[in-house]
Amino acid sequence: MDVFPIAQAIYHARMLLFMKQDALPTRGMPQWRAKQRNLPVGEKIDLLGKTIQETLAMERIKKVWKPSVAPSQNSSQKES
Amino acid sequence: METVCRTLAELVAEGIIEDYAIGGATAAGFYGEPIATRDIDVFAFVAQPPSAVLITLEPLYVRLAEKGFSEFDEEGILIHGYPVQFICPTPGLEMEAVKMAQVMSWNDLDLKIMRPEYLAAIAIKVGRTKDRARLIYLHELPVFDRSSFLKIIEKHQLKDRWESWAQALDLPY
Repeated sequence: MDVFPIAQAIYHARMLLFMKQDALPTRGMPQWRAKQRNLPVGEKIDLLGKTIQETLAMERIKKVWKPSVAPSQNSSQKES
Repeated sequence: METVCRTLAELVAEGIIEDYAIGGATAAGFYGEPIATRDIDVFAFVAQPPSAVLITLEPLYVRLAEKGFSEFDEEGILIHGYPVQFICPTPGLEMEAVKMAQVMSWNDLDLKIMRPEYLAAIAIKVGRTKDRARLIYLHELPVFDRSSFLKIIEKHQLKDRWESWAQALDLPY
């Protein structure tokens, strides 16, 4: 079974839910989000750069990933 | 990415780029937490040769090639390893978004970044599936100026689409 497309769909669904704050825990925004929002410009530029490079790396992984294919069952069953 | 920003500043200082603003997901990431994106969208007014009949990015690409940047990754030209997609702003919303861009200063560098209200309006105008997610992200940023956004929407005839999206995405309108 190809799990990568399923994992990708779950990731995107979680991203959409994540963007709607209703889905966040009622205790408030996670600290890491608040921290990333309030970074000084220089650190923000570094973080944006890393994000782009990570996205490009993910694309390269997806390009070389091939779904595993179960060997086809060629044998034909003859009725006895 | 600092090197990309410095290259942009050089192009402006040399007069190759008359004005620009960073847009798209990269610009959005300046106001919130970074969003996954593969390139930097730069909306740029490029100085045109006197004989040009159509708007062309050729003077920009010629200068970038002289600086050693001539390799492309899909629509973006690779500048210090980052795909940079240069876009000619269309009249109306995009041109206004470039003119009204926020200047962020850092060290000796001034960066022009499209404001979140304009990014949201452009997202509505472009209308892709991922633009809906981006609209939610921008709309919920603490720095998002809703009043300014509604004026932009009204001015650029996007009110109907905004209301339709807002209903579907459960955003206040």
